[in-house]
Amino acid sequence: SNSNFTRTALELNNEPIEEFRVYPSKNQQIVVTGLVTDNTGTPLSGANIVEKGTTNGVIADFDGNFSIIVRSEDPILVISFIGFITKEQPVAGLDKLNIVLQEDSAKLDEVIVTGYTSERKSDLTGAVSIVKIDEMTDQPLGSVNEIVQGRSAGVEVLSSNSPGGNAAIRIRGFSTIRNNDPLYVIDGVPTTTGINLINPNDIESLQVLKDASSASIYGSRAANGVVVITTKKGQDGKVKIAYDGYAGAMTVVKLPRLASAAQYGEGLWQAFANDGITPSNDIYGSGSTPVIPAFLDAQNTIPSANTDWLGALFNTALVTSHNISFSSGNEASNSFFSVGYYKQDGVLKDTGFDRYTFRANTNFKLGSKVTVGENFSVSFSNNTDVNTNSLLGSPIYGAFLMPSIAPIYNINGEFTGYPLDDIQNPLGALTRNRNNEDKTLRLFGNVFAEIQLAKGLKFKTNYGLTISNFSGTNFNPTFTEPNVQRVLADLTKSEQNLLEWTFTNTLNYDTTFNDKHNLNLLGGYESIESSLETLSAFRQGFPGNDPNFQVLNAGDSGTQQNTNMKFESSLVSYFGKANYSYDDRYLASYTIRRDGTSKLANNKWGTFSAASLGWKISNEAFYKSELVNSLKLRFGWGQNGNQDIPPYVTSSGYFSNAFNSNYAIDGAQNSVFNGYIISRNSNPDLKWETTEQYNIGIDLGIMTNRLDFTLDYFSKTTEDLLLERQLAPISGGTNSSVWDNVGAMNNKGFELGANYRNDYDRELQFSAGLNMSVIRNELTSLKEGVDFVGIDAVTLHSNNFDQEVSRTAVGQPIASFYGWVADGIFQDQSEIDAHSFQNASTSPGDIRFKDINNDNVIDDKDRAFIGNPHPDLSLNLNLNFEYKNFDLTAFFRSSFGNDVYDLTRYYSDFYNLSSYNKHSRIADAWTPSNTGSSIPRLSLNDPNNNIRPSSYYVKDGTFVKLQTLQLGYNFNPQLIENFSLSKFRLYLNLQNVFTITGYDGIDPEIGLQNYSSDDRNLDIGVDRAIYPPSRTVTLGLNIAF
Amino acid sequence: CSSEFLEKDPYGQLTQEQISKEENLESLIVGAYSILNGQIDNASNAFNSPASNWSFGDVVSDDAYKGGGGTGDQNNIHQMEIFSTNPSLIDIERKWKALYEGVRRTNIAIGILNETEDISSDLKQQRLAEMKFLRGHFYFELKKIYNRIPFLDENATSLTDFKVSNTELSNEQVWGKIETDFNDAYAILPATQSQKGRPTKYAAMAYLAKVYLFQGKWDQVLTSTEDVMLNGGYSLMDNFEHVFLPENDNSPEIVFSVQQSINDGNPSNYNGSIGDRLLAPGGPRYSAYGFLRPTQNLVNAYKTNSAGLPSMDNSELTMSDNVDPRIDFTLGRPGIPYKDLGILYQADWARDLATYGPYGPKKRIVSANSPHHLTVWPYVSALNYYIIRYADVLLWRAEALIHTDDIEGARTIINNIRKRARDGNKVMTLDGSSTAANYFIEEYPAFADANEAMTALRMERRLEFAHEGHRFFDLVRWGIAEQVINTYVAAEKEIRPYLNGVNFINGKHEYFPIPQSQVDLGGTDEGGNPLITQNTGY
Repeated sequence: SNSNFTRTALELNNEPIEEFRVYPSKNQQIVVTGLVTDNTGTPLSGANIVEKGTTNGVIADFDGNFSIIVRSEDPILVISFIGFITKEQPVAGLDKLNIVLQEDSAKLDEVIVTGYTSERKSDLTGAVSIVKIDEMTDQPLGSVNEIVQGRSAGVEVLSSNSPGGNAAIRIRGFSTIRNNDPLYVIDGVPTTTGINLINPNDIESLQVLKDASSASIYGSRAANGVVVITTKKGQDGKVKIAYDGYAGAMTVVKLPRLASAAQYGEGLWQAFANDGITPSNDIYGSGSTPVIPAFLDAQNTIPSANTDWLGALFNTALVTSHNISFSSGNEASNSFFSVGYYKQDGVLKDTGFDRYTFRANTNFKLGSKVTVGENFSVSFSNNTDVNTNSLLGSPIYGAFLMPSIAPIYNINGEFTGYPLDDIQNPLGALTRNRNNEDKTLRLFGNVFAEIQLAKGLKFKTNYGLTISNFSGTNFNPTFTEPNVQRVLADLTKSEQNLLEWTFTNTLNYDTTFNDKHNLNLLGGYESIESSLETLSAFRQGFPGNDPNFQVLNAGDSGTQQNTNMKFESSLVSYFGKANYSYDDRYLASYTIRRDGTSKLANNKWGTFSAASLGWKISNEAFYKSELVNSLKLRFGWGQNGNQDIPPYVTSSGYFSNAFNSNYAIDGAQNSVFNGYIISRNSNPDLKWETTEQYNIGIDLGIMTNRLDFTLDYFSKTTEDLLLERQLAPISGGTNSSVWDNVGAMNNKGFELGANYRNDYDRELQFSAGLNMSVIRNELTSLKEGVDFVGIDAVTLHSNNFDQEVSRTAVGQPIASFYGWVADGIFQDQSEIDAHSFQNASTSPGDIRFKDINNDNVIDDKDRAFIGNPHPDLSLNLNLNFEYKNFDLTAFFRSSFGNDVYDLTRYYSDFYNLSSYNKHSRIADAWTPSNTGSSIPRLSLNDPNNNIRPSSYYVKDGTFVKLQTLQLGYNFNPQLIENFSLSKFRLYLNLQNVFTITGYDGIDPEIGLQNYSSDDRNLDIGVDRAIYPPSRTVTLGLNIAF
Repeated sequence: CSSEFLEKDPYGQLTQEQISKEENLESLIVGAYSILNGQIDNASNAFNSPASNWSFGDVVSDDAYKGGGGTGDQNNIHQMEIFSTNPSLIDIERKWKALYEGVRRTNIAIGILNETEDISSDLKQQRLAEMKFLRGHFYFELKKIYNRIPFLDENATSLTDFKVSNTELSNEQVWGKIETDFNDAYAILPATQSQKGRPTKYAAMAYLAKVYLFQGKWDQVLTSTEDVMLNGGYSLMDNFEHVFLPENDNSPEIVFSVQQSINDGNPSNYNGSIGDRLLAPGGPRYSAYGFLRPTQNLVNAYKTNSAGLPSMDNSELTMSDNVDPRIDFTLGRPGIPYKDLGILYQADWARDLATYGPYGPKKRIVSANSPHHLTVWPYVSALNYYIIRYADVLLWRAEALIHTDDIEGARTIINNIRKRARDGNKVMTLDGSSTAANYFIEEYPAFADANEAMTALRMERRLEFAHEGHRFFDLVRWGIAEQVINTYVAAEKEIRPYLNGVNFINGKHEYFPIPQSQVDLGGTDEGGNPLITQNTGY
């Protein structure tokens, strides 16, 4: 059950087919024709027919027919087809054969890569999701995340939607507060970076190791689950060439309708009236009704308009992908080589992503005992992106803020804006950013050697290397708009260099004794060292805004600023694993791993173990069920360690911080003295965070495995949570936290995976895959004196404009929404008088907030948990139909019960931020004659503080999406074989076909605010105007020679 | 080998041993000074913890509105302005953090200075004295803003030492500790400093005078201000306007200030007046964040009567009225030239005119023509923030003289301040042909009694120090905050309806609340009760 893990599932399942050659005629030749079908009579197009003992072979055509010339004396044909039992058929004088192949009931026996070894799927005792790559390679998918999304129970993908943008995979919820990203293991090399630089076409297989018993062999970094990726290898046989390409057009699906120039003015006048203020506005005048002037400025340069600012930011964007691969192999070596190009323009103007990938995988067999090889990839990407999902600095939110009356251009054709606010023209901002490219070059690969030392005993040594260089350019040109200008252009260049190596040595022994005992033992040693260096430089004062001035030397050297930092960390691990099976009925596995990390001081070492048991009930003699042909129970328990914290937090010293430690002690106006401050509050006693997980699973195969079910229940508890704990503010503002082991978090849930496939008649084939998960996350304890984890003020300011809307608190799921409970609208003064005191000037039309602590006054003690961003249930469904040469795929994703905090309403619904545009919904705000409204009365003064964080902002984000609808057409083999083609397929693909949701923002799937900060998991589901998902129409082509 | 492999030392970080060397210690001292400007971390919101106290001292008084893009813009400061302050507001926490960061940095420096033998004794004593001066400053600020404060000295070295009660020490004991720091500083510090950012002996004595003033220790105010006046070498500049030019920000009028610098090679210009970065007044030459807006009440206060004395009735000022010339150095009003820009300030410079009226800040805004003003984000300047300037010392003394029945002595001082305003330069029309308004200011001929003297003194402080972050704290220590603010609100709400319902509560609003996070995380006593007691009324 073990194998050299550079060989793949497909190779192992698929008997090597030698080159098909037509032999010169000898003395005898018989033409044999025949038909290959399954037991329902469905023709098996593509079945292999080989004359036994020769390399003479043919392939059955689309109707299952074949014709072969045989020359042997007693010719025997070997007929094989993937998923069916290979059959030997003597020709015995027949010239017309009807061959019926039986489906292989051991179809589950795919061999999959799990730990440092591989296992038969049927022998798995842990919770492993196998993503069916072959179902997806014929689809236009740009990244690993798109492959994983919705394909596996318990796996959630959070995405930024931007081209080449970030995404985060969450496996079985959030096991820790900080970094919940899984570990990726690519061809045996662990990595956590550069996932969007992987060419999806290069992926042969992808497994998600979800529970501790399957993942724990990866020890220290596996607590969040492991994604195991194996890239394509050369296959024995002649040179194969494949081309996969597509081109598509993307458009924005849905944008909110913001207030028109007239609606904004009418709302403003209504607010004046509600506040008892005589209307007066520099733009709309001071009459009894707002008047839209011809020009917004006294100089008559800014004509009034009715601009759809959001619509102005987006355009139809193109996506293209070309991928070509070559592979071949023979007894001595095999090789695979691919080049890929992917280009995605942003639907948001002037954004985009290009990716160039190159991969070479080869291996050589030196004699029968030694294999050496390498897997190597080079990726280069070029990304023009902007900050989104933020109240400050996002052009998308800028378009929410810019009043519609402002035109895009002034009379001179220059970008302009609204004279009363401080927002940069968002289209101008995008245009100014268009040359700001972030480039990443990444080399990733490994070399390995495997030696068979004795029968069943193999030694393997593997050296993996990641070298990655990020190079960013950020040029801010000069411009002048009303109230916003940049008089000096500035340029920041930044570099990040990562060097990481992994050296792994394993010894693996596999034996079977007394026919029934199968034992596999693995022992290993691994060391990892990682070094990251960052460098940035800044100047301002450039002679012009032309791209050819965008080098630092063109700027004013007197303004230069630079930074440089370097971080190193290392890990050492010893591990062992034993897999035992008895008579293919009882399975047991045990893993132990001891890890040491440079990131900890007094507690460097942690030991983690896992054990699992499996029982293949259907292999028992007493088992009789015909319907449920395979039945397996699994039980697993295990621990994983986590040490994913920034380096050095266990040691404190003194350093200079260019933002807050320098000072002009000599009174100078333009220079400072270097200052030192303490670097951090260190905690040398910090220790490993440990995640302990139980998993109970059942696997069922029904109707000869046409229908299979996998059901899992899990509970995982993380103890000694690693967290940068906030200290009482008396410890100061610069170092107001300390890394500590603070508490515990629990995730529990059910996962169901079901697959159905039935070839029920000759022409129409149907398969369906469904997965479902229910996960409950809860922070179960924190350290004494701490009852919640908040978001630090820096983040709150730049992302939320200082609104605290989420808290991670004991007894609640991570990142729960927090604020006052909006309990309807006051309809008259008597209701206000009867309610707890809110404000002396609270008026009908204001929001009634719940008096949580019943002290008759509404204050900050009346805040509560008001929503949960996590779904109650995730359900995904994939349907495939094949009819004659056509194939049709529909893929639905859905999420139920997840809340969204619609923070876009902060500016959009309230006139106490009066100079910014509003949402068109304010036209329906509460007035004495429109009392049914749920939108509070408009007010410039907002004495009731309606704008405060409350459940007014919390909306249901339940949705059902038709994510993919695809129609493909395979040309008949007979038609294309004249062109030496073995495959020619065209398809039309639609992404994001429709979304059913009650949420009225851009999209209910919010993703994270960002994908790299320490507290990125603390404000999930807050909508600050996200990058909209796009609807994509793609035409694709798959060719194989 | 693996144990060595797992040892990784941080780059760019000094050890305890290295920091104790003289050259590094000097940088540690600089690091403690650095926190004076309220920039505590890498974030851009030092406006929540401004050194100038524009929000804590001016917006909550009768001198200024919050301003900005509506009452929802920095809604937290709006809540402070309308006396709806709660302990969870970000400003309440960040100001506290900034001041305790100062306490912490000075305590660390004092601790290491006490231990080290790698520095000459004289230098060691002098740097210790500087650190005590700074610590005294941070505690003084804490005391006047938060009143009930926990006290930490250099012996509080570990995080567990930071769990301290804020009621353990009596009011007098806290003041006593602050006095001790300034007395210690006074004893050691030199009379002059070649590096202008360091306090002198007389800066320590001046600060001590302020500490006495806040306690009503009038005799000590007199002796300490006398020492400063006789020996400090301070003087008033000839022109009020020139006091606020960056070129003069270490002039003989300046006793102690936060040193600001721009274009100094550090990212984001956070060494400039970063806490005031939202104060840019708009118009063609400035960004328009538009915070800190003069109230109508303040504008009216500058009206003078036919005798050139404050008219005191707070009736609405018109362009034909006589005014104190300091008005047009202090605030932007429509029709008056703005600094040396050669243009008139216009009502449309003001952001959200309907809510916050037409006036803009001016005194501590640096000319857009000046190389010391940053024309790019974050629009800060290199103008120092004056913690104490000499006019302040003089008026403290005048106040003490009134309390000790020397109203003539007080009158002389007040008149000296007014004389400068009278005799100094004035804002001229754009063509330079005449003064921009009817400036008329005269000395007080006499005070009938101590009450009249005190009224004049209080008015003089308001006019001289408007928008320098002192007004609210003056009102509180005079015991008239409730009366002044509620009177101001009663009139002002007619033109600023957002002030409707605003009510200053005596016994509560004199002090800001202790941050909720300090109450929650500040530890408990043996009985499980929080060590931190919230201020009255919150």
